[in-house]
Amino acid sequence: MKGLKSFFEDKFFNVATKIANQRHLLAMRDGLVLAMPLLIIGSLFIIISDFPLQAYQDFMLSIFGEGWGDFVWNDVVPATTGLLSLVACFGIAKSLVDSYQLDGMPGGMIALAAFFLINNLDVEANAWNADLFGTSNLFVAMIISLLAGELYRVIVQRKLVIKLPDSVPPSVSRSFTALAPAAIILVLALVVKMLFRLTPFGDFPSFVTAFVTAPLTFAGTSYPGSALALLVEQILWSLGIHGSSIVTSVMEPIWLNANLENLTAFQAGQALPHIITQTFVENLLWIGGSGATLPVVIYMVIFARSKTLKQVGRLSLVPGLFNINEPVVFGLPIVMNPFLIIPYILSPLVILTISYFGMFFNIFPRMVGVTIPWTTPYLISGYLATGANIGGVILQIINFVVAFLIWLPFIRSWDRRNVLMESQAN
Amino acid sequence: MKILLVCSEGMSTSMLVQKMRQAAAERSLEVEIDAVSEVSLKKHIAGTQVLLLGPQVRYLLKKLSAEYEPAGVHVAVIDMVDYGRMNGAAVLEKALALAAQGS
Repeated sequence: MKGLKSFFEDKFFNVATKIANQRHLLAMRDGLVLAMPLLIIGSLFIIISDFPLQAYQDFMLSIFGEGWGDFVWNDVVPATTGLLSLVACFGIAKSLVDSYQLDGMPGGMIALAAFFLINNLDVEANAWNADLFGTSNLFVAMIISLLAGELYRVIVQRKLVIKLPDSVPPSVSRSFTALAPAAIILVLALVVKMLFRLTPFGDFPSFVTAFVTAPLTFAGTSYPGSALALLVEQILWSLGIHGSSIVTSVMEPIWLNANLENLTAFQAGQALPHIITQTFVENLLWIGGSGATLPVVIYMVIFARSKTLKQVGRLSLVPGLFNINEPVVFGLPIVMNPFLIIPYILSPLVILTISYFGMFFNIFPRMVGVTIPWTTPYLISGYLATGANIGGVILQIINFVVAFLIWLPFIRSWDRRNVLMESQAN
Repeated sequence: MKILLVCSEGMSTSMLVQKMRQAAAERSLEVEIDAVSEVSLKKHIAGTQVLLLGPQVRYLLKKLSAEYEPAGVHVAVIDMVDYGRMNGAAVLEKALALAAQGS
């Protein structure tokens, strides 16, 4: 039994280590992290303008007049949320090149140029469609930035760069380093663009939408797909490894994209296409952190009789309100604890099921696609993420109660056991 | 003396940092202790003697050891229970022992 257990642990640990240190996944994460402040600021403005309180709307209307909130969708959103693909394109390529201990800045610049090259300018209007920079092109931006970054470093590492005599100042010769890679990458991008004109897709972005974005989104936002991701996340945490960080490094592009597709539909007043999105996972499933531990913490603070559980509860309460739960996970501990791992894995899966089907049958509101920081306290996050809808709060309350009931028998008997151990120790 | 703690986003480790600073102040030790995210580690590593990893990111041990141990930084993973119970004094003690070992 012990051998089997450590076998699984080693296997999981090795795979987790590989994923967590995977260069391209790390670059994607860093690139998306770069855009996060913009997404959050854009979302804040959307909440301010669309807050569904009639008195508030009337008040703003009386001061600023008709269409007072238009500036949010017309000015702020295009300059924040609407720049996601551009920022990600630059950031991912730069981070990737940086990770090879090279100067990432030219890599990011070239990726950006390649991204514009592969998209189509509206020649008659002499204009880029603003949608290209935002949601509709995220996967295109990611593919281009990874390819451009990778090509850039290969070319630079192979020394296919223009060499100037030693007498030329280093800063001058450095400015020529990017010249050869830029030429090669942009010519390649141009060739790809021309080749796709010959296909039924017409262009590269349409191909990516059909063959990458659509299937990945379908799988990653489906019930089985997200349940599997959640299961892996919880198993990793149960082994004491940062499961959320590892799972999101794979799933974040898909879930973030789904989030923004919802936002686009919300803006247009259409039905929200996705149930599972970034905010669904971070703000709905993490009640006080992964594994829905906030109900347990509250139980420990109020009802626990053993010293250990009381202490862990008190220590975990404030961080738990902001969805940080390492003190419970490692302090209780849940990690490597076969007994407490059961509710730790079970409760988020049950919550996922309730929330998913509750939204599927339109009993509860879906996430409108605004980005809410994952550290936002529970109940507030549900209210904001559903576009200030009280239905989101009701769902969160139901989930909280369900998680509490799943945890209750386990934490109670763990408490009893600790009381017993403490009395024996005395 | 500088001790750096690292985890995924530097949030939960920052709580431990406060407890460690308290423990250091009680013993009136001159120690600089900080928590950083994995992403920003590079910017803060200068001058660090001991680099401690949160147990949830212990998969980074190999990589970070290879990167920083040649430069004389001691790299170790924080004990899980010390971490969970936010036992700043114990973690500080182990960090000091590590620093005393090599140099």
